[in-house]
Amino acid sequence: MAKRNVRKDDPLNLVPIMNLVTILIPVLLVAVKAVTLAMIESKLPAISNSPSPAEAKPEEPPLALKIIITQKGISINKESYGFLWPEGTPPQYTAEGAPPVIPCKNNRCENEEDYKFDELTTKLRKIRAEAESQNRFEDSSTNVVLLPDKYIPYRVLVRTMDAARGDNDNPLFPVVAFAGGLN
Amino acid sequence: MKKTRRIGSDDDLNITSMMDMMTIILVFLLKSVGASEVEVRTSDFLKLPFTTSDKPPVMAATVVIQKDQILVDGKSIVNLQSTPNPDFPNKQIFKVPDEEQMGLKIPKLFDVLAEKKKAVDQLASKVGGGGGIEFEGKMILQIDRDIPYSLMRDVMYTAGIASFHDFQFVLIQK
Repeated sequence: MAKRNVRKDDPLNLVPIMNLVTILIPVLLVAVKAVTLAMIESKLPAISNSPSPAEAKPEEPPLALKIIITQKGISINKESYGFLWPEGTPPQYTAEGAPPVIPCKNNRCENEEDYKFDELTTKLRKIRAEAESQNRFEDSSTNVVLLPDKYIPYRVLVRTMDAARGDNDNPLFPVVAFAGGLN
Repeated sequence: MKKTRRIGSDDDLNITSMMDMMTIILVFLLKSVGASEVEVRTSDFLKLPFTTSDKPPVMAATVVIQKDQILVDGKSIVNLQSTPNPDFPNKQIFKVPDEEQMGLKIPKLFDVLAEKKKAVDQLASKVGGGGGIEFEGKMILQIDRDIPYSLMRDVMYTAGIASFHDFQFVLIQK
């Protein structure tokens, strides 16, 4: 039988490993994630048998925030004005045809950048803090309903949801639902 | 005096440093390979918006709303048409042609989604309660960033009446 003579000072044969690694690296380079995906959840509201809000309306209802997005800017529902301006709503917002709470420049939001999302986050923080101080922030108050105008692009909705969610340390309104829209 | 190193013709190439480098690159690449369950469709008509959310998406029926068509699990269902935005005439809006729509409902989309629910229900009834198969009503939505809310609302409404009520909007993490 032939016996292979291996000398002790022969170097380790790394060629097969090199072959493997050289193939693996291009394969992995192709499979590497160029973008990281994320998601935002939204559920359709469930139908319940509980009494309608008209029948069981408490005197001081908990915060139920709605954000209205139009081509003029971003507003909130009138019921939430008291949390934003606890000292009294400014007269121009109580009148008919009130301007948006966070208007765009020249009342015209043509692009995503025209909306002031940072200001929205600041105002939402104030609303949540005020609701908590009045003990009117319940579990359901983390919900926010978006009421966008029908031609508002999806990217603006996502930015609004991001602004309303807050961050992990200071969450604001992380649960999002969509209403039928303004028209 | 300058020392010259003699390299004999039978000397092996020293590849130790290259092996070191390769090993580090290999570990790095293995770590960054994506393990996401959800596959994003690539098309010129689909550009997902960016988000600050850090939740990863999970697998479910996928509806894609591109600028030119609506797809369910990769299959084209309805072609869309574009018209100028009445508010900003230099911009386009995208909508389902009127003949393809009944109020808010998009019948072709409804049929496909109802079929999907039926298939899961049938499978669940065959497997039985312990099989772990149950229709959960989950849906992944991949929507182009320029799609108007009116179209998105119609798709969500149609999905809602077909018993899909739990939506996940897939986005690109910032």
